[in-house]
Amino acid sequence: MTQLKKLVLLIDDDSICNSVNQILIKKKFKDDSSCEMDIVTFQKPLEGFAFLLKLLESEVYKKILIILDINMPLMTGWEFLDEYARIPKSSTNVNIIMVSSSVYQSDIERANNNVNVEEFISKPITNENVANMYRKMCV
Amino acid sequence: MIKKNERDLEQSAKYYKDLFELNPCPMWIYDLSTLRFMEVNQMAIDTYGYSRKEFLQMKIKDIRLPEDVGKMREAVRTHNGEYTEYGIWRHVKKNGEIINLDVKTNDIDYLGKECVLVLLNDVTDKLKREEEIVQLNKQLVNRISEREKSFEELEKSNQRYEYVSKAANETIWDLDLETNVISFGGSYKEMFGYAYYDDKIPIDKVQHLIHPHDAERVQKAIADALSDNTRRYWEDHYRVIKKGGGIVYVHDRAYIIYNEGEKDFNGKPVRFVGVIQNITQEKLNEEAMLEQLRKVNIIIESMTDPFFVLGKNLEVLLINKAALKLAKLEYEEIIGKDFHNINLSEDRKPMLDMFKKAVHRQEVYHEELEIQGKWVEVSLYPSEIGLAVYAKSISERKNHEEDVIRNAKFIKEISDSTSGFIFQLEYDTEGIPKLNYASKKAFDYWGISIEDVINDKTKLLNAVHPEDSKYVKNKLIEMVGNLTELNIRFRYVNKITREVKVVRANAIPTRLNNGNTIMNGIIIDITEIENNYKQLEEANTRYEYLSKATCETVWEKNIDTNEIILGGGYKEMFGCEFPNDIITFEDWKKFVHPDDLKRTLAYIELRTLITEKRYCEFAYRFIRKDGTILDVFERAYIVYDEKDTKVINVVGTTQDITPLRIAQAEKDKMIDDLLERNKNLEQFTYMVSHNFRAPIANILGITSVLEDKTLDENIKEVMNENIKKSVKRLNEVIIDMNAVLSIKKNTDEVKTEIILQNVVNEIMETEIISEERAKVDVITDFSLAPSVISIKSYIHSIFQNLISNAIKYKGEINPFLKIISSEDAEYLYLMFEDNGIGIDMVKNADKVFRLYSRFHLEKEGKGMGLFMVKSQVENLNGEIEIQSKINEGTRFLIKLKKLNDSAKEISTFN
Repeated sequence: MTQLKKLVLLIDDDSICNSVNQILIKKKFKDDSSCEMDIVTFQKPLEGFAFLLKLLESEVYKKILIILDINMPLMTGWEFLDEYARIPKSSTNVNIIMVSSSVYQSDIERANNNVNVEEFISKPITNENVANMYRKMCV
Repeated sequence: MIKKNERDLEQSAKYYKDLFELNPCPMWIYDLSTLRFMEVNQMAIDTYGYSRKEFLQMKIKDIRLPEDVGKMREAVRTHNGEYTEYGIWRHVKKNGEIINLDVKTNDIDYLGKECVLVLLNDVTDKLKREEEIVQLNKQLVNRISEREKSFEELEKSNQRYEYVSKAANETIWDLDLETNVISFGGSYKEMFGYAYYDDKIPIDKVQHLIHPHDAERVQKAIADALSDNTRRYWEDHYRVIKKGGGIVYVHDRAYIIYNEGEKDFNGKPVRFVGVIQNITQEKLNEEAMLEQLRKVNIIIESMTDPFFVLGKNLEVLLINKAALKLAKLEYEEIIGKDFHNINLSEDRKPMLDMFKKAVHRQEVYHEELEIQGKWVEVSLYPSEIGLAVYAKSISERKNHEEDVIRNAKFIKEISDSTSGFIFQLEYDTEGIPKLNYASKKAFDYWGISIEDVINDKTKLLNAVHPEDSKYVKNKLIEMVGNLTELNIRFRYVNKITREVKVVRANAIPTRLNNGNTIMNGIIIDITEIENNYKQLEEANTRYEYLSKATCETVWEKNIDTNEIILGGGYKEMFGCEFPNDIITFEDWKKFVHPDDLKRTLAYIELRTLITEKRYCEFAYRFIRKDGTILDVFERAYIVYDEKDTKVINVVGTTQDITPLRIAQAEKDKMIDDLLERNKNLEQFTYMVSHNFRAPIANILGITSVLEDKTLDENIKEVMNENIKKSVKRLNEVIIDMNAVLSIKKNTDEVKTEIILQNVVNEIMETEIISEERAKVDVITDFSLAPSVISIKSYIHSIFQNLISNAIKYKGEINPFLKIISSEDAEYLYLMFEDNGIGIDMVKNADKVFRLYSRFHLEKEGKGMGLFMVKSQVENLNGEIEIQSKINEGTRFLIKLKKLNDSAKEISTFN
């Protein structure tokens, strides 16, 4: 039963951004109660990564969606991705969405070229973006 | 005993004759029976004033005072025939003057009569000489008694006066062999320069006067003579050292006198009496003659041509080696031989006839003869002696004459077959020239027929270019006058074709016996050569300029001599000059930078080995004379021989590319800088756009949250609060941007002298830092560089950021910050060192100085400080370096270009 649980992991050093995104996602998933969903936010990417590692080891969640910011101190989104790539394959289904206030084409391309990145979203996250996430997670 | 030795006798006769005749005392012989004078010596004649003839008609009583005659007769009567000393007697001279004489006599047989030899000593004269003479004469009388026979011969001798003239130059000596005391008489003082008291001296005191080279020989000879009792006579030639060191050559002749008074007639020598004759002059004459002869011999022998001297009867007197060689005879075979009897080959027979003719006619005679295929000019010089013959080889001259003829033919052929021509001019005594000859090509130059010019003197220089005419005439006159060689350049204008030819004329003048001057010469067309040369010269000049303009050295290396001939701007490049502009390869190597030498030499060697590749280029560092280093670029072309196997020489140019290299290096650095700055700029704009967008994106995000009307009031409030925060952040970003952009603007700010300690003090007093400062020990040492001229706001900002970072990220235990300055001519160096929490340089090396890079989330910070520091340092043309370790500390090393008031060397960001 626990296996069916889903998690959205928000990692952004910007606390405002985290809270706004959390509200938007919560609202969408609340509207559809058939899809049970946990939401966790991290301002420090290293902590977020450590949390993820534990989740993957314990295989608590069936599906994990990571909303990952690019520009963060101590560990950028890219470095997070590099570390993630080193983790052994897990039964957990992980989707990663990169977000950034950057509108640089080089960032977009880099994100799209990374096999582990599902999508690149320029901030702010819109309701359409959240709807897409819902579709991925619950449909 | 006398008869035993005829030679001795002869000699002694002469000796006694000499002693008698040359004796400084008057001497005579009178007939005992008639008392007539039989013989008188010169001294007697001189003393008494009677001539010899008068003396011989007188009796001995005729020179006495009448009162003395009785005494005289008594003395003669009682005369015992032995040696007698009669003491002092008075005699009367022809002029009546009475003189006192010491008289000694001894009987002798003279011309078959019983006679008395009388020796007189004028005691009225110097008393000092008396004893000597008495002594000597005593011996003389003694000896004479046993030498009657010798006097006969003396009388007979035809040469009785021969030695008169030498009388004054003789020294008489008497050695007493028992006492070994020698007494000297005669002119010994004049001869040797010594004077002895009493004229007597032990023999061993004078022996050293004999020249050391002769002493041993002479002494041995004397000892031999004295030990041989058959010997009566000794003579020798030797040298005596004069007082003062001069050398006197002497001829010493002496008699050995045996003691006859004793019964044992076994020949014990008791006296040794001699006469020393000074023969220095003769000796010197002889030496001079010998020397002369030696010289003549040397001259004769040094003559490479045969030379010999024949006597009147054509006997060979003198002949040199060259003549012997020609005659193919040995010296012994020919010297002294009659030339007739010398075996001559047929072709030398004519010589004999010539010699006879020359001797007969007594005139100098030359003739050229061919002897054994060699041409010889024989010159005969007759003289009183005979004939000097000199044969000079003239093969060379003969060959030369043939050469001349051959060459003349050759020159004519050449001049007829080439574009030039030869000519002969003849100047008469008035200086009017006339053409004797010109080869046919002359017509091409003149456009006037050669015959015309030969026949008409006025046409001679007609074809010379009018502008050169005067010059040519003057040069010709000068040449005829001084007989100097002609070498001039001028132009001909062809009278028919009007073609102008540049020519060079070379001619040699010869004065003839009739006073005319002949001039043989050659004219060569140098029009083309001159044109070529001009072009070459122009090209050369151009190249010289070019090479100077391009800082190029032109060189040529000769493979054989290993010398490099330098040209172009080498003096500027080497910074020195070389004799003849030549440098050896070894010396050249010294100008190559040692680090590049091996590589360069290897390259040169390789290139000269590979024949396909003629051209090579290489660069190396060149050390000028003054030590400055240039970057040079060498371009060389290797020249091979016809077979392409051997390198003949290498030519090339060396270009100083230092300015180029410096410019290139500057360009490279500029490009690097630009790339770096571009990267920074990209990073900067990225971060700026990101940070601008971040709050905006937040606001946008919040608005979409707020769209939900059902939103919880609490959340609404939080969201509103978030909008405020985002707007505030946006504002902060704008302020940050202003700060960053102001760095670029401030470069125009005035530079002032900044006291570093004051900067630190100001910062420490600001509120924010002073709160925390107590916890960090800030140590400064600006003693090595207390101040810097720079932009104050930058320096302030750099210090502020680094100090506040050090305080903000301080360590736990005894935190400190050390700031130290130092400087050199160009830079100010600053070091900020702390023991704070540090930065992980392994991970973050490239991010440290980035805008909005943060490493410690626990502490407040925007990630702007180090970005600002780096930007400001770079805008002051400086560099910053960081060394850091987590939990150990951080060290910033800053290098700032010093600014002068005059130079604004600050580059702008844009």
